[in-house]
Amino acid sequence: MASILRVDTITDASSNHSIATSVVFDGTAKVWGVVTSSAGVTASANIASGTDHGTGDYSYALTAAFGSANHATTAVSSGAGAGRICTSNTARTSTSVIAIEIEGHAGSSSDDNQELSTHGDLA
Amino acid sequence: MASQLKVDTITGVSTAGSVAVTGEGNSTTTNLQQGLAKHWNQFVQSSTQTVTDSLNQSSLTDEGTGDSSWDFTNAMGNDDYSSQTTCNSGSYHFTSSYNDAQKTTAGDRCYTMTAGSSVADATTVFATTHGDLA
Repeated sequence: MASILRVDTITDASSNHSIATSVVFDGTAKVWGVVTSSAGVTASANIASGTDHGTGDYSYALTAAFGSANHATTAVSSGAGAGRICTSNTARTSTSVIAIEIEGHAGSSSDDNQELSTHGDLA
Repeated sequence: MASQLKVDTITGVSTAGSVAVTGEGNSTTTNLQQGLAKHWNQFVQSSTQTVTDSLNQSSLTDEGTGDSSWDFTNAMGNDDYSSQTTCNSGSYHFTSSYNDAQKTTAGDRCYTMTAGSSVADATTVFATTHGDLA
């Protein structure tokens, strides 16, 4: 039977490594994903779908929304022969969407696979 | 009243590997295990590669200039995990996953280069890994 536990602090049985539950929950990644160069979702937590907006321009709709758009996404490109730069596209970002842009060394938009994670406060 | 829970292991009742926690805004829940980083490291890449600190990492290998790999202590359940890497140096360097086709459940790899596309060691590399443990 499912149960709910309400506590303020978690510690191990020896009373070591005490930590506030808020620290655990606040620090837990709310999104992670492995996605393709066409915004296909290979594996993820909390990503409902991906959209390819054009060369190097991607967004991902979330299953559970954040409380605000002030969440933090980090990403790297991961395709063969990678070495491209991923940036968070705040123009497309909202409480329920994260967005990534990719550029090559010369500053031109570029398609590539991505690996990403996002931290922030859920709604 | 403040409360304190003393445990060594947290396990879900319905599914052992799934504990739901309520979000900060009090209206949604998230899976605790899915959100936990399963691995992180900080290592010196220039000169002799040295691990500064890490979680769930058993070894670090210098694969060549700007090319490093590491093994997990506890393996991932599949190779579809998400790794982010970054670095610092005296000049402009950046890192990326070496190649997602080369990921294994036992370990991962990244490479580092300059803005001019030249492979080069950074001073320090940082990595985090999210995904499913075996």
